[in-house]
Amino acid sequence: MKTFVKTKKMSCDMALQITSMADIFMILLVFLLKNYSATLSSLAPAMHAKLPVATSDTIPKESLKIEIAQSAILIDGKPTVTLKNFEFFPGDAPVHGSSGPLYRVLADQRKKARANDDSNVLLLADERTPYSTIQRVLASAASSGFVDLQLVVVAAE
Amino acid sequence: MNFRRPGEGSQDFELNLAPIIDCFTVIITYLLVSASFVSLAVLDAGIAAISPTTAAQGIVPLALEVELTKSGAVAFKLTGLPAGKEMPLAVAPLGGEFDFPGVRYRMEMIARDFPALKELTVSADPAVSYKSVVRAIEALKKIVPKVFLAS
Repeated sequence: MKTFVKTKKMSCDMALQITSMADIFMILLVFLLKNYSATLSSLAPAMHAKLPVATSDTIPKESLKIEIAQSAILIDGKPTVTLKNFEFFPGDAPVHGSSGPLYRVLADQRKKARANDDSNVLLLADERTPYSTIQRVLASAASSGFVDLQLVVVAAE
Repeated sequence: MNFRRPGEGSQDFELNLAPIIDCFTVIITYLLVSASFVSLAVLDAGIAAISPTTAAQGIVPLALEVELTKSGAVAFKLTGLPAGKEMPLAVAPLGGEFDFPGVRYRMEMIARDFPALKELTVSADPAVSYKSVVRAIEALKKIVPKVFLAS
């Protein structure tokens, strides 16, 4: 009976062709580096606030970051005021429209920022936040010297 | 004296790509993890004072306040209105929601009637969501670039 089994033994020292793989990786690397933006990664909301969508092509400028989430207000990533479903607790009574703890932290930040005369703040607020909370945050920012707002939004296509 | 070993000057060599591939894998993984696939932008605005502005001579300057009400209507409050000019009408809600194209259209008409108007203030009912305020600012900024938010 004729056997169909090949008599030639398979070679064990098989070399993987990685030249083409290196080419693909190089293209991927160039693409990712070109699209990489350090500013955007630092602007990502810390407490996963759902930012509103709007048409704008203005690039955010690096400045003090105020984030309003469902359970807290963060200043530069540090929780400053606790909220209950986007609203201030009844015990946190407004003083001239502003929040006491928020004002103290912002005034402290303003003293630091006064050296480079930066009155800008980046506001990252969840789209469900009621205007009453926004208003108190704005009053606190204005009374501590931050008068220029940058409302961070998700750029619409 | 010749110290060259046999075969040392040979041009026939292979570049070892394995460590390069390792580096690429690490860098690509880092970039993919830290990459942001959502593009963020900003809407510039100022914070307005609560008290209305009045000139020293007692002449009220032309100023516009756009107010978003709880009912979904958008009111336009003009102060310092010249004699013979009428207050612009409010934009009624559309299906219970704010009519932002209507707001933009009304703002275009106001800007045409009052070319001296270079800035405006946006205010809202305490219950109005931030999303609606941003959408109103977006619509208004296309006509009047300088927008303030009432504090």
